[in-house]
Amino acid sequence: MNMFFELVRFELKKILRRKRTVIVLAFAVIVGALSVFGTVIGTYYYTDENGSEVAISRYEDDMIERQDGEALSGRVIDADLIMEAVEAYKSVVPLENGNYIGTSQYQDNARKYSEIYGIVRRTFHLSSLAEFQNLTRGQAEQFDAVRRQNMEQTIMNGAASENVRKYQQKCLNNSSATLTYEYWGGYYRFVTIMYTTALMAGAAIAVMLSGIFSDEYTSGADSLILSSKHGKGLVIGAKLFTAFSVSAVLIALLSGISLIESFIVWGTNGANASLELVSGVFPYPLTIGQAVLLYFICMLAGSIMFAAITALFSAKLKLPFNTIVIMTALLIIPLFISIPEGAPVWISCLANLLPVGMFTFWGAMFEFQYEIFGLVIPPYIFLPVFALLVTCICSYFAGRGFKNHQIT
Amino acid sequence: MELKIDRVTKKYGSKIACDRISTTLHNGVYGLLGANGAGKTTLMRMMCGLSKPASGNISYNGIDVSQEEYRDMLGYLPQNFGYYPEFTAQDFMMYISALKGIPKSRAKAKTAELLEMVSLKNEARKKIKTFSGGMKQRLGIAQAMLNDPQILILDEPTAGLDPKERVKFRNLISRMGADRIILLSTHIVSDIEHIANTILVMRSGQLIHEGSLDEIISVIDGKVWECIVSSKTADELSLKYPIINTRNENGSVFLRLVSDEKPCENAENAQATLEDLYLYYFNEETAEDQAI
Repeated sequence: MNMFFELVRFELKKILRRKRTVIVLAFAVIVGALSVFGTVIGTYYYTDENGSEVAISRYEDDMIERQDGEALSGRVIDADLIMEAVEAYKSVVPLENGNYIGTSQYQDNARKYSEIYGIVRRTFHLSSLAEFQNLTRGQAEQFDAVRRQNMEQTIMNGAASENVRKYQQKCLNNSSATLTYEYWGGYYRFVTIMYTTALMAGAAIAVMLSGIFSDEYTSGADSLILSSKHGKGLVIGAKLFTAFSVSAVLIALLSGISLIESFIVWGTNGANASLELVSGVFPYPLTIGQAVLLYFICMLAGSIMFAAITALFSAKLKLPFNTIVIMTALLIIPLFISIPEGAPVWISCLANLLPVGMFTFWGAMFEFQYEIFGLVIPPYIFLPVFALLVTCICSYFAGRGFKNHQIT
Repeated sequence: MELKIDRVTKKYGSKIACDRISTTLHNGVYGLLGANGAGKTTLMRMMCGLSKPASGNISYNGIDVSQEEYRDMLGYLPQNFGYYPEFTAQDFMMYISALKGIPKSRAKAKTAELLEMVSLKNEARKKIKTFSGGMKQRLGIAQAMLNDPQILILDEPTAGLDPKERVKFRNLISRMGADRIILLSTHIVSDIEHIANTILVMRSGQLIHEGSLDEIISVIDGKVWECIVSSKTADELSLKYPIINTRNENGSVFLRLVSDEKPCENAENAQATLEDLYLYYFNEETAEDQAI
C-alpha cells in the first residue's frame, strides 16, 4: 500500500510540474473564484413612470431581492400570502409598453412578492400580470390542490412506463401538503455558477490528464516503466487513482470556493426548503440542501468519469494533443445541440449521461427517471452509478492499452 | 541460472527484425554486436517484455518474460531513455525505485550509493534538464542497477560517456558480471572486446555467431592483411575490400584490410581483432550507413 501511494505521489508530481498544468490550474481557480463576483458586476437600467431611466447596480438589486426574500422566508404559501401578493400587485399600473418593473408601485409594493408571483403564475398557468391581479381568494385557496393536480397531470401525461408512474405517484404522496417559502439565493447562485465552472474544470482536467499515459510514450519513459516490476500493474492503478483524485479535488475545490462566495453574497438561507419550491413539474421529495448535495455528488462522479475517458484516450492515442482535442469536443459539442421540445424523453435522459449533463443541477434533478429491469432510479442516483460504471470500463481499457503498449 | 531465448521471431509488417533467435545466457557479460538495423534493440526489447515476439519464448529459470517476477529481476537501460526534465536526479532515482518495488529507506541508500558510483553525487538535487548527455547516460546506468538485477540489459550504455567514464563503466560491468547476466550492445567494439565474456553477432535479424572473443575472431584468422601500396593501388583495393585502417607513409599508403585471399603482392597477414571481424561482416551495412 505504501508503494502504491509512493507511486501516486510521483504521478502527482509529474502532473503538477508540467507547465500546461500550472497554467490551466491557475486559470481555472482564478476564473472560478471570480465568476461569482462576475454576476454582481454591472448595472440594471429600467424606465420609471416619468420616462426617466433609473440605474441600479446588480449587487444592490440582488441585495434588495435577498432582503425581500428573507423577509418572506418561513411563510406558508397559502391563500393569505397569495392574496397579500395579489393586493400588492394590484397597485401596479404598467407603462404603455407593458413594462412595469420600473414603476414605483412595483418597486415599493409588489417587488417583495415577486417570488410568490412567480410560483402562483406557474401553478395557475397565468399568462399576464392582469390575470394575477384578478386572482380571487377562492382560487388562492385552491393553490395546494391545483399544485398537486398539476403534478398528477404531469405523471399521467408523461411518456413513462407503469413502474415509473408508480414511483412518481409514491414521491407525490410523500410530498408535503403545503409549501413553505424560503429564500434560496445562495444555493441558486451556486448551482447556476457551478455549471460553467464545472465545464471549465472539465477543460482543465482534459489538459492536465491528457498526458497521464501518453506523455510516457512521447518522452520515452515508457521503456523504463513497462520493464519495471510494477510497470504493468501497480503503476497503472496509481496513474488512474491520481487522475481521479486530481479531477475530484479540482471540482471539490472550485465548488467549495463558489459555495462559500455564494453564501457570503446571497446568504445560506434555503437549505431546508422543499425542492418543490423551485421545480414545479415533478419535484423529488428532497430539500434544496439535499438536492444541492446530490448535484455535487453527480458533478464529482461526472468529473471522475471525464478523467477516466481522458485516461483512456491518453493510453490509446499516444499524443496528448489528440486527447485534449477529443475531450474538449466532448465538452463543447453538446452545448450547441438543443433537444427540440416534444422529442422523446429518452434523448434527454441519454444527454444527461454525458459529462456535461452531470455538471448541471437540472440534469441531476431531471423530472424523468431511469428504468432498468423494472427498477426505477432517479437521476441523482443513476448518474453517479452510471459514471462509476463508465469509469470502471474506461479504466480497464486504459490500463490494458498501456500494459500492452508495444515499444517499436 | 539461465536466460533462455527460444526461437524468438519479431516482424514489423513484412520486415523480419528477429528471425528465430535461440540462445541460452548464463552468468557473465555478453556483448551484442551488429550493424544498425541488425535487430539488436528489438531483441533487447523483447527480452525486457516491451515488445511481444510473433513467436518463441523468453524465460529466466522458467519464469516467462511477461511475468512480474521476471521484471523484478531485470535492469534495463534503453538506447534513448526517457526522463522527466523537472525531476531532480534524486527524484528520478526514487521514482524508478518505487517502480521497482524497492522500499523507501533502501531506495534512499541505494540511490546515494549509485549516484556516487556514477559521479553524480553532487548533482543529486539538480534538475535533469540541466544535465549534459553524458550525465543523463550515467543516470540511466545508475537507475538500471537500482534493484541489483539478475538480468541487466544495456542498450548502447557507453554512448556519450567520456573515455574516463567508459573505463570506469567497463570495470564496473566486469565486476558485476560475476553473479548475473549482463547483455550489452554497443557500436564501440573495444568496449565489448574488453568486457564481454561471450560475444553474440547479429546480422539481418539472425544470430550468426556466438562465442568468446578468440572463438569469434577465429572466423577471420588469416584474412586480415596489412600492406604498403601506392595511392592508386590503395584506391583500387578500397573498392574491392573492407578497409579497416589507412594512413599515409612517406608518399605511400598503409592499409589494413580484410580479404579471403592475399590482396596484393606485398601484403602480410596480421593478428585479427574484433573490429576486423565487425568490418568483415558488416562491410555492406556500414557502406550503406555511410552513403546515407
